[in-house]
Amino acid sequence: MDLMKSSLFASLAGRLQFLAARTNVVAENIANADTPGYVARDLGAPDFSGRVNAHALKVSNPRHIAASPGAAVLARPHLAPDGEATLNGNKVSVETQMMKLSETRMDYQLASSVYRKGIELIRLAARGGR
Amino acid sequence: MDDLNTALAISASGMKAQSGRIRIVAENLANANSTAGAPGLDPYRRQVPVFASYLDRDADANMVRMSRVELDPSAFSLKFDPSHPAANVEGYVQLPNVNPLIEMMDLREAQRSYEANLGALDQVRSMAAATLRILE
Repeated sequence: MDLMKSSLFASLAGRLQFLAARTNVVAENIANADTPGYVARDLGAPDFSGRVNAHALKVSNPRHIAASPGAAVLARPHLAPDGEATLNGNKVSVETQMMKLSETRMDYQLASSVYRKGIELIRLAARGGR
Repeated sequence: MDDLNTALAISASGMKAQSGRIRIVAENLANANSTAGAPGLDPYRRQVPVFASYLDRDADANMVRMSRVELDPSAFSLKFDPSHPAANVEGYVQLPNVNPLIEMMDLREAQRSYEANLGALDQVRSMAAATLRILE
């Protein structure tokens, strides 16, 4: 059994990847908060529902393509203007972006602690419950 | 972690642009009373920083930079001071078109934006620390 490819770790890694990419987009918005004509962007969450009931393709020959179940594909960032534009056409509200950033950070910390708990479970099993 | 490193670079570009803006504001404030040396010449003209977003192809991210510095075309104010070396025949001296109040507001705005970038950097740093704690 390949532990690191199990659905728990793979899903959490996908989640962490998405949250890091979203942080990237939000950091871009904050950096461009005073750029004329810049419109804020956001990244939508990938669809993780495919992971829940999808099964991996059966591989009976090493030359078969081994598709992992529902690999999370990150969407491209879409425009998400914050409220009204200022006189120079900039549509970024620093407050909204900071809120999104701390929201993303909390989710990231949640996902990474669940990941750590998973590893601790494996360690516990490896030590034989001691 | 790659995305997080890119986010750090983006915040750094924002901080660099804002500190450049603070430098321009400081230049304007310092030269708020710089008149011309002789009649007929222009005094100090206020500088205005212009920000532009650009795609960093290496990091695949929209960074920000101060693309150019323009001169404020607004009119100079006049002050009656016949004894001044730059006074014209009517006795008026042209003063720079710098308004210290506007400059202070601009400075405060740049400071807030700098702090926002610094805050973003701090959040990204704590996310990277959370990732590294998985190894513990």
